[in-house]
Amino acid sequence: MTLAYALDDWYCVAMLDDLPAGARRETRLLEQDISISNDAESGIVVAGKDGKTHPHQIAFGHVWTSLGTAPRPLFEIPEGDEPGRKLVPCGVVRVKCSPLRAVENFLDVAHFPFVHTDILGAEPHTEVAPYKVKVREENDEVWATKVKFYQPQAAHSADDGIVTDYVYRVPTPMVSVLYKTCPPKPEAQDVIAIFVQPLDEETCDVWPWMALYDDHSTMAQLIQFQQEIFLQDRSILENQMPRKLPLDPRMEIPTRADLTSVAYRQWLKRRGATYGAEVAPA
Amino acid sequence: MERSVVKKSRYWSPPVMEANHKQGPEVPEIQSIIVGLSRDLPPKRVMRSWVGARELVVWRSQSGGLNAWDNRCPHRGMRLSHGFVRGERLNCLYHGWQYDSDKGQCRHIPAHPDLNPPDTICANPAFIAESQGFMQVSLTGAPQMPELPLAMQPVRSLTFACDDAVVISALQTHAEAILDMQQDIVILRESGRTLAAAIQPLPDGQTNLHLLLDSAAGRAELTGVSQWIEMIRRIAEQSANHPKDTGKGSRA
Repeated sequence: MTLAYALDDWYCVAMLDDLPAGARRETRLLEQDISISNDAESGIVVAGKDGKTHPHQIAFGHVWTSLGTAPRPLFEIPEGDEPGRKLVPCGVVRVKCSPLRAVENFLDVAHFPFVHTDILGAEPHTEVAPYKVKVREENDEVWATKVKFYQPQAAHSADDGIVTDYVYRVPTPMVSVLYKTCPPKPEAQDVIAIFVQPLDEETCDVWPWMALYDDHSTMAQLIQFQQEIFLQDRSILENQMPRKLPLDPRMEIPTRADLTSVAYRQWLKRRGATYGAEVAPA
Repeated sequence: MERSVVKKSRYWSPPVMEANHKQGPEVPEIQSIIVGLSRDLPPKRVMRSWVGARELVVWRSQSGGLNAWDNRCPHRGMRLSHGFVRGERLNCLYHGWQYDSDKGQCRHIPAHPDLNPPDTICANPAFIAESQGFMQVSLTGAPQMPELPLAMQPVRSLTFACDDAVVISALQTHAEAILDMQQDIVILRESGRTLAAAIQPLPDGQTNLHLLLDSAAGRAELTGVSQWIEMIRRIAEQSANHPKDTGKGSRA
């Protein structure tokens, strides 16, 4: 593992709604104890145990911080600013797995019929049609496009099964954003992201966030839908061995449906973003 | 009350335990072990087990085929013990990859329904056999099944929150007589009946005990033996929590 690369990214460490004046969250980031507090006088402060403060910024309804000396700029999700979208921070889910495994699972559609049965997928609609994956050179992000999958209930707002179009994006090793067909507004796309906070190489806090077109569902319903999906994922993520993401191609066997994951693993390796990864066979 | 001399089981030796002590719970090298009672694994049932530190999925196909494989789907490392059986195949819970009973060959990948999976995609089988009510796994060749002195019936399996040495010691102290110890099996007499207790150390420092009873014993005796082994468990766990000054219960 190399901590050096990981230190210079920004990480989501708290949800703004959980931080009214006077509130404080104690947590861990990359094995360091930190606290996020909202003082009446100084506003939001992110600090280490030694009292040293870390930079922070507010984005997508969350507090982000970096422990490095020269953090790379935070990515953007421009669609989040489009009028009419409901912005839904979904809270946090603790998962005993590598932060990279959590991201890889988010990029995967083939598991929908088995893990999110009758919601995001159902047998016999299991086939993953060919799709496109590339690393966009202008911003060095992994993108998967033209992903299609049959879904019995693609979103809380969906009444019937539809073939959903997906686009996946990995802007930074521990974040993924997807764009998918919006059931009540087929010409538009819903945006769902996971912001993964690495506590250490084998434990993470996952913050799902959504920007949806949905005039009917309540916030509680939307959050509950997403939480249920993510808890189903957790039952998988905590049972993968090894817990770290193996980057040696001999350790796990991908198929064509896993092209996004193959690209993601190669991209991590190329950048030296190996915190949470198993580099050589165990 | 007579007690015969007890041969130590081959994994139950203090030097090995001390050698592994720094690594947390002791996991001595074990190549072969009894993993359960045949009765508790009916067709289409899946369970998780261990041979020493090696984690396995043990499952039975619809037609009765018994399997013990590394507990890991070669695709994404998911524990196969969370999977489900359809017919003669174990299906991984994550992506539904289907593995054939016996050889462990992958036969179907739902994401690519028309693909004939290459031979290289295969679960990693260990050796498993069953006789007289016990299922035994070996990592190195066909298991050598124990020889029991008489026909037996299954009682139950239970997990002790203490290591195997403490379990064996509790049996030695409280059974009417220890008749024999072969490999990982203690043959003993209790309430005038012969019992066979297979001892399976687990990597977290706990121990499984799989118990058989003389098949001539009736229902009331079966219940009595079941209660007796629960008592043994209480005693063993208590002595593990409050180690006497025997120097043996050093593990926290």
